[in-house]
Amino acid sequence: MDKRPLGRLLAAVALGTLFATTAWASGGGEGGAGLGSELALYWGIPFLGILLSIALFPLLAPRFWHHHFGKVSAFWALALAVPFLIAYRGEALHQIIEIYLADYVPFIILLWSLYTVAGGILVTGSLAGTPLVNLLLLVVGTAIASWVGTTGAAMLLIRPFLRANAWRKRRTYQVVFFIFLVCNVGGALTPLGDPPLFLGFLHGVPFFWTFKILPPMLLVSAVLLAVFFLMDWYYYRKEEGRPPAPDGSKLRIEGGHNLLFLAGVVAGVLLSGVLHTRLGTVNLLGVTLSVAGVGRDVLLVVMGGLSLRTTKRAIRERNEFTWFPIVEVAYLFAGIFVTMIPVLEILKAGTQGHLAFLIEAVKEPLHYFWVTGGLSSFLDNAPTYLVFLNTALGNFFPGVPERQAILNLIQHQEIYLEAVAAGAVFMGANTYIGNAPNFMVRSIAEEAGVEMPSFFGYILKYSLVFLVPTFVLVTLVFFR
Amino acid sequence: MDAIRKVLFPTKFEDLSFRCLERLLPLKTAGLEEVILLFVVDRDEVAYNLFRGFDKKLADQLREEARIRFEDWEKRLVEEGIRARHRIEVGSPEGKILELGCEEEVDLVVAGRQHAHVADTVYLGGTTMAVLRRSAVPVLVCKHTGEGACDLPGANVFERVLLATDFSPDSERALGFVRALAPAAKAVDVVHVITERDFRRSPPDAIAEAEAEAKERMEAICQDLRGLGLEADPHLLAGHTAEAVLQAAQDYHSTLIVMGTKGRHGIREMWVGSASHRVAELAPTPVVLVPLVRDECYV
Repeated sequence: MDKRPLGRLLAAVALGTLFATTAWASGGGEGGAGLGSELALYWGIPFLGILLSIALFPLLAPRFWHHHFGKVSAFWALALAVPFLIAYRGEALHQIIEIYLADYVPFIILLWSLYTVAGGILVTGSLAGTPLVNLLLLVVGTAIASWVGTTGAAMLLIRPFLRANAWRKRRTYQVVFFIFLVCNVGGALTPLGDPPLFLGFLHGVPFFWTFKILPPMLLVSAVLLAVFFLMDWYYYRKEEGRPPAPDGSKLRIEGGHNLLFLAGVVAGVLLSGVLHTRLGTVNLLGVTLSVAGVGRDVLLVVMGGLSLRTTKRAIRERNEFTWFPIVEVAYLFAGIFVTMIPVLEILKAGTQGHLAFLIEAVKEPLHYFWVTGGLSSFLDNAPTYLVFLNTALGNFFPGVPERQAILNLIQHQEIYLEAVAAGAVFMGANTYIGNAPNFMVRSIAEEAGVEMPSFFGYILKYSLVFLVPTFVLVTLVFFR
Repeated sequence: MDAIRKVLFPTKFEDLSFRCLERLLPLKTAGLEEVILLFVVDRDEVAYNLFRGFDKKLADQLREEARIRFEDWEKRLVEEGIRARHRIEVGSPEGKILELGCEEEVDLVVAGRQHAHVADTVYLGGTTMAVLRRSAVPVLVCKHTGEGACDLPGANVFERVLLATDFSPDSERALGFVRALAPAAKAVDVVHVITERDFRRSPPDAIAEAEAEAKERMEAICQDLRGLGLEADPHLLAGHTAEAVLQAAQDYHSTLIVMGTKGRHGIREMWVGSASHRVAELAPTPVVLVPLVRDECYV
């Protein structure tokens, strides 16, 4: 592997900006309205290509993917960008610059800062893996996931969770429920919790609006926690042994000062939402950015930098911290963001665009919940969220500027946004690839000796059995 | 440090061959009793696979390959009268080398990498540089330049040592290391550099004073080393520290350079690096960097 992962990450983050500025120099300047109604469906091929690559390459050619995912991402990005720039020059150029500056850069900065700061916090000591302690750990993980990100919460708690249960014979279901709750459902309450919600926030969904998902989130959490507790209690009683005697090592947090940086990240994101319109805007390469947003990104970089600077490397190493997952996300999303431009434009055009059939087919909240969720299970949930947010906007407010359309949606058709957000966040739990922390937790658990189900085993034995019925219940209660 | 009893020898096999390990055998006379062979399965290679999770099959395969090779190496070391065992770990190579160096309480960690640059300069890998910056244990940087050849020259790497000192506490510890090495060595060249910065910042009187003091202190060190049965010569140098030390090593046909290091030096270190790290990076001969003693070993 590359020995300069931070450098590679920064290079990946810079890739978008560089690409955009290079394109700026070579592009034309003509504008154009109603691009979404002009674009044919084949402009969506690179987006489909990159999503299918993410879904299939790791299955069919895992080692190739492990070493060349960046090239695959770059291939699809160029497959869209080159013809798009040739065909639509100035308009295409503006779209590409805008998506990188307004979406990609803040998105990666948030993920990087949360990942970096949370990776500097090490929970040591051991707990007894009793049903009550396990339940408590899952409740804590679910509760903090919305504030430290699902990845941060998972990385913080998975090792104490595994250590506590090291003596237990059956551990597979424990890790699976950890994935359900801490890696996914728990992240539903704030834009910090799960990447799709942050993308929504960047596009104009207010920070605290996501609290609207609290009722369905509580229902899913309560059902899953109850099922987990009963299962854990059942298997605990069947265990021949009992938790080993305490070895005297108390539960301790090392690198606890990172909690301050975490508070800085939360405050930065929160303030950028509150001050969004008050601090004015700045124009960068033709893209209007809010000063509050730029300030937030700078603050987040500072928080991550301070975490790196002030945390002993040994703490990260004992946390088994590695840059690989975040580098992978940075590379893949550099491709995803550019390739999804035409799809989002077509969807925004509503019934005027070539995806009218989708807009006409997806009508009811339950459709939005299940289609967003179903696709989020197998494709990445962040772009899926944006696609169906735009589907709703195209459906109800075609042609209205995005921020205004989102506010209109919240004011008049809020349930659709709830369905999209809940579907994207909850159903990321359906597969290992639905959300980044899922496969990370699986990997850490397997390394610790837990037998985890295969990709399809996870779906058949757990998702279909525990999650799908719960989501049916959520549909009946909230999205009918 | 009174002897070099325990050595940690991390290897990726393609970088540090058994031949390099064999060149360390003269340390037997300096008290070498045990060698711990280490292979780290890089977590980034086997973990976080989207579909496979932790690639246990690949990890097991790498572990087995390392075990088979190590068992052969261990046999040969035992034949030389040195105890040997191996550890195979999954993790970050840098972190595991540092962690096990402390956990096993070794006296010396061997690190290195074969990478010949087009300009005939040998650069170190990122892992080795990171280990050098962070290690609380002396680190021997072993380099290769030719294809498959270990560049530890001659029959005894420890025969002619160049000890670079600035009389600081870390240099004192480096002197302690040379003392421990004495039974395996024949001669030591003790060098001190009056730097360009000293010339720029100090008046001529002060330079003359510093020169006299350095000569006196180097002579005291040489006397001490002569008492251990070594040939020892003092040399006062001037100029840029790293360049002067590298030139001296060439001029005096040194087989090994020993220097103290303060480890990490904050922001400045990130940009320009310390003289000791620069020497370790650029010297064609093996280099031992001896860090300051600190309260916590693995940080």
